[in-house]
Amino acid sequence: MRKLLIKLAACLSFSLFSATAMAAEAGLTLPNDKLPRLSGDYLEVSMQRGMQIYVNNCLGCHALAFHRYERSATDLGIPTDVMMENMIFSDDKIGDLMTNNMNAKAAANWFGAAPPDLSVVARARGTKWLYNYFRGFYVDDSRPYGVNNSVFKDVGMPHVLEEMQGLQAKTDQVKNLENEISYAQADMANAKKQLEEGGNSSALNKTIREAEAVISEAETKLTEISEAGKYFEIVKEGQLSPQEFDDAMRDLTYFLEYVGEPIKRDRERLGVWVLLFITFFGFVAYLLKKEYWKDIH
Amino acid sequence: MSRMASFMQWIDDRFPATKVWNEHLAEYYAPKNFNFWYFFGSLALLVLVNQILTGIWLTMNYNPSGEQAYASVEFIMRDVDWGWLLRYMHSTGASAFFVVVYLHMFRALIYGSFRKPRELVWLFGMIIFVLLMAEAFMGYLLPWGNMSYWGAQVIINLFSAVPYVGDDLTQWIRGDYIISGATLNRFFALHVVALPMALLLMVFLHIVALHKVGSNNPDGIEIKKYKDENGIPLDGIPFHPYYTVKDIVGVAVFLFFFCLIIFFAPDMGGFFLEPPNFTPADPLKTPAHIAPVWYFTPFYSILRAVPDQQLGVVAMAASLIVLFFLPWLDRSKVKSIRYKHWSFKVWLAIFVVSFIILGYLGMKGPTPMRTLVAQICTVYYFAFFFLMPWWSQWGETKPVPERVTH
Amino acid sequence: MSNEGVDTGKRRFLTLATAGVGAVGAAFVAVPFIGSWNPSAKAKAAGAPVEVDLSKLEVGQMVKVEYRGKPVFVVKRSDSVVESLKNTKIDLKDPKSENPDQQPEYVDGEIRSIRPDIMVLVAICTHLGCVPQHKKVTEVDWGGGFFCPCHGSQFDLAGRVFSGVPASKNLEVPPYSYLSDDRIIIGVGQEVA
Repeated sequence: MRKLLIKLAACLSFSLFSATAMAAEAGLTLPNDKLPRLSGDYLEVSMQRGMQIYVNNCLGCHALAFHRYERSATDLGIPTDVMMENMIFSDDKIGDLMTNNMNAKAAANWFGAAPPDLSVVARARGTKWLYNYFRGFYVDDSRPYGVNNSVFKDVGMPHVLEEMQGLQAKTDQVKNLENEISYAQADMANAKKQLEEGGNSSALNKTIREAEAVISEAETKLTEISEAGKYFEIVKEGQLSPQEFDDAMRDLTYFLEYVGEPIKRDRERLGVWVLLFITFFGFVAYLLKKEYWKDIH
Repeated sequence: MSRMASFMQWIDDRFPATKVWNEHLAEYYAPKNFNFWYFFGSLALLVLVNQILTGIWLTMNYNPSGEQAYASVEFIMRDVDWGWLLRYMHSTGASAFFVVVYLHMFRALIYGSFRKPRELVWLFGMIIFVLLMAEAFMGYLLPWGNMSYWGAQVIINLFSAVPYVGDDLTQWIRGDYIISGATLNRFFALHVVALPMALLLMVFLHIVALHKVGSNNPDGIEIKKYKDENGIPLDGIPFHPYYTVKDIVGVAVFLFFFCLIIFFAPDMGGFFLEPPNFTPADPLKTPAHIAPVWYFTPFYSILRAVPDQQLGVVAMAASLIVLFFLPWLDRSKVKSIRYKHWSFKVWLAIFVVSFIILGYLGMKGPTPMRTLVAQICTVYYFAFFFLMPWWSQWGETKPVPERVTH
Repeated sequence: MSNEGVDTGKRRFLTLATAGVGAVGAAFVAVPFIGSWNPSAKAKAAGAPVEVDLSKLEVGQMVKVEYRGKPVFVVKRSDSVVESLKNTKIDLKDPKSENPDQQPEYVDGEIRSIRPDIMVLVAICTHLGCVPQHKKVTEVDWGGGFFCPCHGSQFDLAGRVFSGVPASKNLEVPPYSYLSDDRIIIGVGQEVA
């Protein structure tokens, strides 16, 4: 196994034409909506609500093992007693880390992989990815939990927020377009294989070009559909309206962004003063330099 | 004699304090025509101090074990007062080090600062550069993120290209069958103790050698040729106070940009801190796309451009080694770009462009097209150096002035 | 290069100004380096105030809790013990607890507690730092209290040190306060009225 891994790594680094899937070029995933921007008090309230959603729905499986309740209380302006009553369900103290008691091995058995710690997930994945991932669960009977995710294909996680969101499915239009894409991809792969085996190159190249055109056209249409909010349709109502659910997922995303780097807002505030000070220092130093260099000029 | 003067006398009788001060600052005569490009030496020194101080402070809370390393970095980022700032100063400092060192080397390239009699200054500098690469590489493993892990995996596997003993060698470097806590521990020791000591020694030698021969300047002429009756170069000015006050301004400008990154974009959009490194090291899962940090990418591109494992490693090593020979490759009659034939500017411009393209491609996954471009740039990279003995003699040079132009 | 017409006053002023602003900057830079030596959030969480439930504590009994890594004894004393502490016949080094470092100002100097019956003490011998043993009134013939096994220092049930033993200071009373009749919190002092 280890030998295999080493070989694998060597292959990755040396083989010139290895098809490394790149994060940035990993193909189209939808929805691909922008995270709505918030600032000031709205942002802080959003983070507070996000934390509430997190401790109620996520913390059971996904620990925030590097983050302390107390830090959230201070940074997000949540009074200690409110935090103790509404956010801490175990016998944890306010200064404790936001861990859970999940057995990683058992969980790996249930879901295929142990639910990862999410302390820095916002820095690893980015907030836009998270926002779309949360909103990307849809009905897919081929999966063990009956749902799949359009942003993280074949994710092992069930749709935990089903009560809030209800269930959504891809619209017929989306399904048709996706079928078109997979047929075109099959055609293309087939043509490429024949080409390698020495088939008629001009005819095969034409097939490949046509397939590429079909794919790119279908992807453009899918993007348009997603931007119009018609990628999914609700097939089972939840407690929240689609707009309310999007807002909730925005809040959850902002909370995770905060947890990813709790110091962020403070460091930006401090940074302004640091830059002002350096500018002032530079100005004085420049006057000094000018004065001395009168000797030279 | 005043009390202060007699105290200095007491010191000077036992330690050459005044002598050192004079020889290296107050009576070290530097050409008066230094321009923008001459800030980066002192800035490199500043960054070195920053790295050493923040590095020492980071070790106070960092835990170099496979189980705890990743968590201890997050501990520094969250639970240690000001730990986030110390860490960002160190991580941004690593990239800043390469920014200033690349610019410093480019300065040498355009003004011929490596030419006789400054060959040793250049060689010491090259050793610093290589040590710095080793230092940065080992430091990058320490956060024990998944990119740290797989980056180290790939680079250590370069040594498997060594004939006969390659596989044993990589295993010996790792101290395990895979990269593990054992690797982390030895890299930590080298990163915080051995390499910094070697770096400091080489920086010392670099400066001693420089102060023996004196600084070059944008005109590429020797200011020691014309001296006044006291033996002071006519075109020289004491480093202190003139260049100290000038360098302080440079420091302020540098710090402005340095702090801009630290406080507003510490991961620099993934260039300085890569997103996959916010996932703990996982020997069973390679990140979708492995790229070294930006400062290694030109050389990494050269490695990948050669369609053979062993030759690729040879090419990458050669791309570094060839730089050592620069003082003997440049055969031009003049040192500075200002008086060289116009063809130098063309060669150099294409070199800079290819180097940047190589750097860009090194961050991207390979495609046939990109590989072809990388190969072209690699060929040019070597042509630039290997053919330099010939092309550097092409054409007429412009007349070099006797005294520095100002 | 010429040194004629140099305005030395201006030069001196600018040199001092740059040095001054630079020194302020250096002081700012020192802040993270010095600040990072403070107890971390982890250490603070581990050293957070500890709540103790007194409802199940019987007269004469002791519970031991940990506060900032040190053992803290909470003892419930009977009324007669409290009375005897006020009129003690034992020779003590500091019977009125006049050393202000050893207890918060809101505890009584003789019985050394907020509520007469509940005694809270840091169980670290003031001699060389061993953990003393709690001796009940009935167990020993010197009236009960704390006995340090390391060098034989003795303290009464108010933590006051006996004369003629190596320790010279009374046992420390940590800051604490009452959350309710039956709950105290060690580490949070009572506000001085």
